[in-house]
Amino acid sequence: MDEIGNIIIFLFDWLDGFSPRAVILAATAISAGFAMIAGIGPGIGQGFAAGKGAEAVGDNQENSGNVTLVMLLGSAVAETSGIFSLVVALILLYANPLVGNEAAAIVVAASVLGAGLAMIAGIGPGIGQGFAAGKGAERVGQRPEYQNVVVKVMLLGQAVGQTTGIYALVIALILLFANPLFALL
Amino acid sequence: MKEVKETKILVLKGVALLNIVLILLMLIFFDLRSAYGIFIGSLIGVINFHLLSLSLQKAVKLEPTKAGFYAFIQYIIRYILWFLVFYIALKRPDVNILTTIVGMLSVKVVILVINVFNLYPLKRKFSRKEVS
Amino acid sequence: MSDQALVLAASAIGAGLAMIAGIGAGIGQGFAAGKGAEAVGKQPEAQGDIVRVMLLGAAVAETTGIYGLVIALILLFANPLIGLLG
Repeated sequence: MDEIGNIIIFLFDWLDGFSPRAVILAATAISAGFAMIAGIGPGIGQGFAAGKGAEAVGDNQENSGNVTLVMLLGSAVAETSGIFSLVVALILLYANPLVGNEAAAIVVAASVLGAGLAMIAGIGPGIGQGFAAGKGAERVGQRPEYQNVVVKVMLLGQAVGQTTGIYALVIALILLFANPLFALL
Repeated sequence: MKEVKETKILVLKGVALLNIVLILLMLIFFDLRSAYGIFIGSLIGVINFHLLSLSLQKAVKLEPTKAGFYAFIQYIIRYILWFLVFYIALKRPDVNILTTIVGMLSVKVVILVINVFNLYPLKRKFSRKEVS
Repeated sequence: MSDQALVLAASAIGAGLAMIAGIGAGIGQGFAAGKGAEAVGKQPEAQGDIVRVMLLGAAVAETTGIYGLVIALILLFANPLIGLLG
């Protein structure tokens, strides 16, 4: 265990050699990168929806309008995790609220890193909502007269699935804008 | 495939209309850089859409697994194209990057609006005379 | 190591992480094209409609991967954080 302790102390000593502003800005850059990893989710989900939509149109060519509508509605909802991540990354880069903060540099840098890491949670809702969109499009192709019910159930399920993404966004925004850790220092 | 061609023309018209509105807004409230950014973003978005349609039309003629790989490789090629476009947009001082992002999204917004509000042009109906 | 070097190095790491998002859209498009090819194989006369739906879906699926690319390029080539150092 001594080796691990030494490495951590070595890392903190090394970081102390820089000005606090530089450490915080470096953490911002890495954090913006982490936040964008959530883009994997909507990509897979919406691709699944497109594939299922194509399959449904092949089986039920006369219902292609309904299939397209449901697929695109579902895909648009699946997009929102990607948008949240993009907004957090842009806030971090262009409107960083913690840059001039006078508290200990390590805590501020860790908060900024944590905000970015939290947004990785956008992968889940992206994939899940895209799956819902694909299945909805498939069923509407087979039963176009149930389109309203299918859309309602799909949107309801997608809204419930979004909640973990919202939790992540709330934590990231708390860490950036209303950080409770600085008062404890 | 004529449905694909009709859809592409419709999306192109929608993007052109949205662009005119956005560019006018940008010129009134912001500067020339932002308007140029929207134009560049939408132009590359439409070109990307066109390349995507070509690659998908070729992909469906292959077998399913090969079609998957072909689409993936084509996606990487288009990704590199986006890389070059954004690199040029960032390096030139007369293009605003944030409005280029907005321009890039305009294709997607137009697709969603056309389909959700069902703005497809109606086919002309032929009237038939009943022969009794 | 100077302050600027630290921020630049961290920007490079951040840019690399942000580009990982492109993988998701690639997988999605591959899946969509595979399903489309299957459907056209089963019903060749419907291929206009099938490709149209697949095109709309894939065009929507592309953009999330591009967000990551934009953030990565901003970090590499138009870094707003260096200006905040002073």
